[in-house]
Amino acid sequence: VLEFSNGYAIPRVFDELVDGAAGPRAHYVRLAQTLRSLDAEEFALRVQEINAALLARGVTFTVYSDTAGTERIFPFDSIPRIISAAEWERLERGLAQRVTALNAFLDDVYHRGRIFAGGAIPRDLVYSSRYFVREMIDVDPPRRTYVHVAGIDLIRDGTGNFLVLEDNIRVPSGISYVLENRDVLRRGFPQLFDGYAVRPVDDYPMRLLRALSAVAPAHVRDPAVVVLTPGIANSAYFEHTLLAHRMGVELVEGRDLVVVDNVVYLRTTRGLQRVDVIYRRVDDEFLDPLYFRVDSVLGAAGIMNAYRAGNVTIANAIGTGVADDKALYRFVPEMIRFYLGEEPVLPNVETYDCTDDAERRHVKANLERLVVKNVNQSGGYGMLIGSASTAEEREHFARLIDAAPRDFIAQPVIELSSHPTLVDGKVMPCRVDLRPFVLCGAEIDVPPAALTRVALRPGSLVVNSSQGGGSKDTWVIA
Amino acid sequence: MLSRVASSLYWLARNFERAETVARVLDFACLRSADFGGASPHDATTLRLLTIVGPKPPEGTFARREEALAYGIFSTENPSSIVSTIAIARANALGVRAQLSTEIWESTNRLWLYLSASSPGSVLREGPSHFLQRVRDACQAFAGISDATLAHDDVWDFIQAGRFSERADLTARMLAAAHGFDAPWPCWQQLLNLCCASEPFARLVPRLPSPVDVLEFLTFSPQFPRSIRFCIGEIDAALHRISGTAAGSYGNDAEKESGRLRARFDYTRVSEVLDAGTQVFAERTVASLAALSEALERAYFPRVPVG
Repeated sequence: VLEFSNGYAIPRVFDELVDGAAGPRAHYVRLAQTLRSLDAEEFALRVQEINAALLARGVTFTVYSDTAGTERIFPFDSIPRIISAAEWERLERGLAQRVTALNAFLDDVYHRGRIFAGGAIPRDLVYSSRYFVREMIDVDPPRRTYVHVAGIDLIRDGTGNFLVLEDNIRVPSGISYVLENRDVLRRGFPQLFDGYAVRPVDDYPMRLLRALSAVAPAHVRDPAVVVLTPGIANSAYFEHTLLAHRMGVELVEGRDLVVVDNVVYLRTTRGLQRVDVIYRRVDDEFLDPLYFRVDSVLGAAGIMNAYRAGNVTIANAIGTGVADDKALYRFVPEMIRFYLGEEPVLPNVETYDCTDDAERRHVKANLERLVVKNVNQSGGYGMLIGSASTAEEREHFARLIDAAPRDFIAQPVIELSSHPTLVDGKVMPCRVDLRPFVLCGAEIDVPPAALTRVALRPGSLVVNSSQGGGSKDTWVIA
Repeated sequence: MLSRVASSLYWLARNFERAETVARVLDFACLRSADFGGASPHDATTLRLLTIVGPKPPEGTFARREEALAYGIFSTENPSSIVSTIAIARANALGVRAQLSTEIWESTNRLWLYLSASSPGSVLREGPSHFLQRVRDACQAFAGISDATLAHDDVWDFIQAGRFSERADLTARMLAAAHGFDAPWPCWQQLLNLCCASEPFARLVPRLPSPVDVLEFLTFSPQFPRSIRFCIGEIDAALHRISGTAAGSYGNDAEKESGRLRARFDYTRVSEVLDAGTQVFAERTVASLAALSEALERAYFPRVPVG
């Protein structure tokens, strides 16, 4: 029998499955029953098989710090996470609202800058962002859409409220795990699905293609869409392949592209073929050696001119990073109020601004109760979790903050909700987050496809794949 | 199709084909040295066999069979070692994963994972023959799976072009090297074994065979899928399917080369080969195939930038 560990006797934080002494939450009752009926050894064996299958399939990511460029699987946990229909409905509204506001903000900062006049957001914070791209000023992307794909990171606080932790609106990844996790769980543990109407995720690639086609340059009738990948050495290469394959479009590398007279073409066995929409998974600075990094071979020379001439759509648009700069994160609720005249459905995590003298003093005095993040880094790199830090580390961060206050933000430690997870044959409460994906073409689309990342070390708060995290199949139920 | 993709498909198939032949040659070399009790120092035949499928190994590399095996299987300096060829094949497969069937990718990846987990020690424990058989099986599975799971469009055509280019080249190289295989086995029987041809040969050439029959079979057989003529026919057909040019005419230099070669092999008698000298003929064939390969590259995946 699959046993819940002692950690479950007194849950310290909000648990997704167990509602304190009251037992399983309503939408988990059936799953908890099924889990109890499973044989623990057989369960563990099946989990091993699934992970072996993922390795053979090459559902892997590359660990950059590892010089051998080792490919690893993102460990899969077989106990699914369930989101009730009512909760999802609220998330959908909140996510659509947020991405609409972020798009409006980008359109504004690259045009008139109305929001600065009202004083809601300090102008210099935007212009000093390393992700602000001057070359985008007065460029009009089709449908004035900048963010075509967003991956918004959500967490729960101690009482179970969803908070937005991060907006990933440059080149968010993770959707391939959503698709693969569902596939392997359905094959490996069909019985878990008994009694649930789980909303399918496998139409995500078609929804993405629909969104991308809708933002083609206005004169194009039947747009040629491509996925641009940095290549096989990239950490998310598997995902690029999967999306291109399922959308039925070409997966291209920079060297496959050539720009002639401000039009982007593919080099093919039948000569040059025109490209209308580039779903790029290459960062801004590598896209065009003529404009950005001159040493980049991952983009194509002249692509920026073609973009500015309106001959090709790049998704996400260039320069979106300014809106997910961690230093601007705390102003997103202001953006929602300013552009939409609404209150945010999904609140932010309270965030301190280190450029403000008073707040910086507060941050430095309370480091052991805070999480400090470097605004220029992501993936769990370059951060301090106060509660798990040494005095030396805290001193080090205090010096770093003084040296470059613009580079740091601080937030209270949010415990994150826990979810039953199999660790060494036992079911343990491990912390999880949630990354739903939002598409924006002709309109906002929130597919019921979200990635749950789980910290596989019980007690750990870091869920990133590069830091020993795993993932779960995530069910949005009808 | 992207030029890069065409190039990857072509080299994917070539490297699989080469890995299969290397595995066959090494297995053959192992069996031979077993005949001599496993102790044939600086075995000249092993050395020559390895030279057929790759660059000449450094002088005095192999005092023992294990060293020859390690060089042929694992050496990263040897571009024709099994590990090198499969690493290239896998990198190419990875780059065109979206064009391949899941089955092709997974079987390629499984072979690569198996090789990554192997070492000279594990090969000796497993038995070299068993190990090499697994490699051959996986390579042959690639051929079968690509035939059975891909649409036979230009993806498959570039794979065919790669596969048969490599095969023609290897058969021609075997012939070029064949003149001096030493006793005690008759040279032609060894050659048939090396080309996977003894059984089809015995079936298709039912009288008491002579060495000239072997030469004719490996060079001109219209039925045996490793004869040079058969391979050139397949390359020519694949190229014409890719371009849509009618058979017997040409639209680019690659088709011109393949058409000429095809005509040469369709309209040459084995006695003419003997007149020219087997080795001269085989070496000329290797050169012609190299020219065809270069023309194919220029036509479909040029390295020069678009001007």
